[in-house]
Amino acid sequence: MKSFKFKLFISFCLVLLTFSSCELELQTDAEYTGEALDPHINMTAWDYIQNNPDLSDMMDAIEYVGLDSVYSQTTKKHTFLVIKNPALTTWANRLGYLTVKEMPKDTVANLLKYHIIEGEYSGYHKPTPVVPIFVRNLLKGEDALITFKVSKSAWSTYDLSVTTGNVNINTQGSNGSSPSIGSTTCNILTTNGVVHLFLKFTYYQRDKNYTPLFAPKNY
Amino acid sequence: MSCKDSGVDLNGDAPEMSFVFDTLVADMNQATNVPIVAVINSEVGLSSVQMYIEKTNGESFLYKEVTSFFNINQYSLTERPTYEENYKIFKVIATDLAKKTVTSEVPFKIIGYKNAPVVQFELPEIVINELFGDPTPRTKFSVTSTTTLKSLLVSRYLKNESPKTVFSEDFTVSGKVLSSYNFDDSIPYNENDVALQVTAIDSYGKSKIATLPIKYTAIPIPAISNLSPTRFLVDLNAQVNINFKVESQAGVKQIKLVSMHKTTESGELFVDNYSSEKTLTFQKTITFNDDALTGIKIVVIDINNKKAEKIVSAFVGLEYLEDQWLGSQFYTRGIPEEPGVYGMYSLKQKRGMSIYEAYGNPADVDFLFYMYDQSKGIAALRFLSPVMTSDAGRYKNGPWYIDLMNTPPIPYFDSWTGLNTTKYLQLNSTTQGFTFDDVTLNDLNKVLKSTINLERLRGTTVATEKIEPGYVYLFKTGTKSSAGAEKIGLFKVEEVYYVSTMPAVTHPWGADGKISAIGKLRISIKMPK
Repeated sequence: MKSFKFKLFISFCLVLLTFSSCELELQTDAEYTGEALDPHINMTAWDYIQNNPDLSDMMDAIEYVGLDSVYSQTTKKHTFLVIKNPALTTWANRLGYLTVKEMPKDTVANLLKYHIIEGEYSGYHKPTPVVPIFVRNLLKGEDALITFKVSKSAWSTYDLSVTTGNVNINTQGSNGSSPSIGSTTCNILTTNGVVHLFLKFTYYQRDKNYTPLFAPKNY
Repeated sequence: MSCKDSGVDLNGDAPEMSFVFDTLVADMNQATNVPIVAVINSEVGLSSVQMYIEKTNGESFLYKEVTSFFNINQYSLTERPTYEENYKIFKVIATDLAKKTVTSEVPFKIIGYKNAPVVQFELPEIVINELFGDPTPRTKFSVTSTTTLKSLLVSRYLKNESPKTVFSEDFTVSGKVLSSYNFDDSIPYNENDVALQVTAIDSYGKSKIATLPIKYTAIPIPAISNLSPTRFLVDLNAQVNINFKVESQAGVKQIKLVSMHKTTESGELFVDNYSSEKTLTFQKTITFNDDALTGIKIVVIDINNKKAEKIVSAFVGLEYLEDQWLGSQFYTRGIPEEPGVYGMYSLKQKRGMSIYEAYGNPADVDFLFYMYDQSKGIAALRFLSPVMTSDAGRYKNGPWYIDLMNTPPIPYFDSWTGLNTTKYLQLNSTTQGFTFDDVTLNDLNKVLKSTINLERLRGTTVATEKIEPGYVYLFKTGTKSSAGAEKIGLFKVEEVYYVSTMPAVTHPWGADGKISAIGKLRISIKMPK
């Protein structure tokens, strides 16, 4: 009997709550204007590198070999493949040096030239095929061979990168045994081209027995 | 003033073309070559890209024409033509929508097809005939390559063995850059050689395998014949002659007689040198004063150091009794149809004994053989001591050891006096260090007598002491044995025969289950003299 009275009391309270009114006002209509983030950073690739602490190794390497003029000029457009820390220091250590500034300048310059592509290749510029294409960098000869690809579909065709707009260099199988790298940040439009950021660098390798221009074999 | 056609600005600059290579190097020996790569940019937009290949004879052909572009402002040219040796120039003509053209050429550098290395032997084959005294010629050959040599392997192929490497070098490891190699070496061929094989591999991985046949005729090893004796069964310290004939095509240089202790050479008894005799008769007198001797090895060496060897078995101070027979109870009285088979055996007489003979000479009886049918048809074989401390009546008080027809009748065997207590033990060759075949007097003298302690060997398929062909047993004679007290010897079971139905014989037995189980066996015995 006691239990029945308690249940009756709870039911009564619930009814009171149901009929009690809320004092908040109804939400009004609001206009939404969609706007893509502006990829233009209004600075040169060199300025961008200098202002990014994650790219200090790259900045040191560029200054060391005197290629900063290429990264800062605005007369020709380039696609700059920029390597984040600490990949270049790791590379120097692997070759027996403490930093890239201790390495032979030719070796460092060759790595940088391999990663500077003539023309603009990004997800914003000229149409780029969904398959890897050979592009020109600042090197000549067989060691200059490099392929470029922008992923335009969530379904990857060659590599594991499936993020639309992501950049992939030397997609596996497209350029001998060259290692494939995918961008971590991409399509940064500078006043002198476009910058794509990578955790690792790449190089040309015809096959497993081929000695690359600036990296140890099968690095 | 600008000129526009369908929204396209036709006033832009002419196309620009940039090749990755200044020279297109193609190697026809490679499975793949790097592609021809160029990037063509056009402000106006490309209308066509034509690619021509010009040959060394001046002819030119259109290799490919592209008129459809994914991006008309930029074309990534990537081509992998099937190269030919007479390709000279790769020419590209890019035309934009304003009909402005740009032409660019890159020369080819074609590395033509290279033949595999060539191996040239100095001799077409190597022929060596020992009968003619042919010397072994030096092996000479040359390897030439239109490129550089990577490796060279020289192997001897043999009749009954795996190939043997004579020479092997990886020139890429040793750092030698060679387009030719001259081999000159003295290889000690013999009658096992079939061929010499040379495998040369060039820097492209092209290989050449060349074979030089080897025809080697060997002189046969010396022949030993007319050997006498074929085995020595001699007393200790006896002097016995050995004779044999030797024939050798090359001529005999030396004959040795070597004493053997089982598989070990224990010393040279005689060493005689000769002057290339083609045939000779050898005779020596050997004193057998070594009780551990198991054989005499004859070694004949010819002038080419080829050996012929033969071992003559020796039993020094041992009795070796072969083809000795024992029979089951059926044979205790002796069966005229099968003479020599009895249920009792005497080591002194070196033969079986009937119950009639044994009754008067109990000290002569050393072995008793007994058998019966076990359940499931399994025959149970027993070697028994004439005197047993247990179970004696079970075996010996049956009608098979008496003869009621005899006058006076022979009493039950177990009541006989003067019988032996023979003991048995299965031979463990690993423990004792000898087998029936190589046992010596020295070995038997070393056996610990107390270890031979069984008065009954039970040969069934389930017992550990199997009485089956090949099994060997040590025995120790009784103290009263007429063959000598506590002599240690051994016997080997050579054959076992079973007869399922009692045959009709001159003196048939009455019906008795213990007699109708019929079997006999053949043994060999070795014991000290």
